[in-house]
Amino acid sequence: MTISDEKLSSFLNGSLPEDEMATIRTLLNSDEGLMKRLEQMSQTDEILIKAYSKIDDLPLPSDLQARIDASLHYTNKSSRSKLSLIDQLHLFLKQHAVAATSLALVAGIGVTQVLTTEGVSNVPFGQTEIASVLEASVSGQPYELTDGTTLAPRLTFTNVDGNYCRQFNLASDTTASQNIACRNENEWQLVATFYSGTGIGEAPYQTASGGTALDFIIDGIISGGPLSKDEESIAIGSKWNKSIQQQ
Amino acid sequence: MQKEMIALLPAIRRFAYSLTGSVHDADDLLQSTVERVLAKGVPDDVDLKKWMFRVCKNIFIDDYRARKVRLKAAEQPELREASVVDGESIVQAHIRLKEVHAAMAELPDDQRTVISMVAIQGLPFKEVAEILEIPLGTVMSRLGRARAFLTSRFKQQPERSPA
Repeated sequence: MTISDEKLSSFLNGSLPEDEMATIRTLLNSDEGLMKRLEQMSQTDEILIKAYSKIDDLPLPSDLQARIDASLHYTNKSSRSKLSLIDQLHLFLKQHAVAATSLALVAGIGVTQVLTTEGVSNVPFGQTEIASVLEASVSGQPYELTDGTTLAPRLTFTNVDGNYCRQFNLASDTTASQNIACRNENEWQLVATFYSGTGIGEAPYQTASGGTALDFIIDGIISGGPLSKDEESIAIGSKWNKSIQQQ
Repeated sequence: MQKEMIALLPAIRRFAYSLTGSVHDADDLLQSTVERVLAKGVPDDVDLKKWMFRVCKNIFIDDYRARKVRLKAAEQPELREASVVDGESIVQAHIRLKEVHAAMAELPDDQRTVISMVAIQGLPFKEVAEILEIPLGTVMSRLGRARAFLTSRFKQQPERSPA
């Protein structure tokens, strides 16, 4: 009985049906020539493994390693920026398994519902008093709005799309929230609100890591670190126009 | 994906080396593979490992067909792999590598790809069939022919004993 190279090769990998495996095993007991072919085939594999595994001992050339690292880094940045902000936020919510019951994601063109301390407003966020304060006020100090709500800008950063974003707290006698708004097409858009308490006097919500509830979202969309006080002042002074800042 | 890709680099590099027979070409092929995968992305229904092997193989074949260089790589003194081996028997090992590269270079691309994946990478037939998008039987027949050819070549040039 002649066993083809293909059959013998598949036998070597244990990839034949069990009855064919058994047949060849039986033949190997009596056919020295077949056994020799099998051994030689097996040795061929060993020669190949020995020869081509040698490259494992060589470190990647440093320039190649650097190019690969750069490619990975660049792609990571660019692939993140391809996601819309709302997609990024949803992604991070999903990844962090955050209970969304108290977190509202309100980003998106055409969304005009604005979550204020007094409830839902139909005024576009960009036209609210909140947006006016974000437009012109530095972080770190509270501002009282005309309805008695206290607005406290907390920090400013640039997101992966290159837009300015601000985290700020709102608090009244009855409600308190943490929020993120980003500047897009020359106006502020509210993208996330986290209701953190029932009003002034309550301790703000803190995560286990010590940050605020929205910090994990900021971590996911921020590009670089938060703006320094000087950088923030320059951005405000230029009305958030980067081309003016570069002049 | 980055961590998974980084973890796969040694296997893809070894695969590239078995296809090209040259460390320099293997690293070029590895770099091209990484860049292509990052640029084009990975389809949702394909895992990264299979996709990287497929992309690597495709680039190799495209490049090979375009330049007709790699087939002769092992025969060109400037592409020999003296730096790959070290220790007590550099000459002997060098000869063995050269023989292996030369024999592999004689294989048709499709057989070389299959034997690289099965014998060197240890991939299961089913996975190879999925990567190359060919029937399982084709994997087995190509592997059988490749093994038989290489075995006959290595029999003609038995491994030297160290002096």
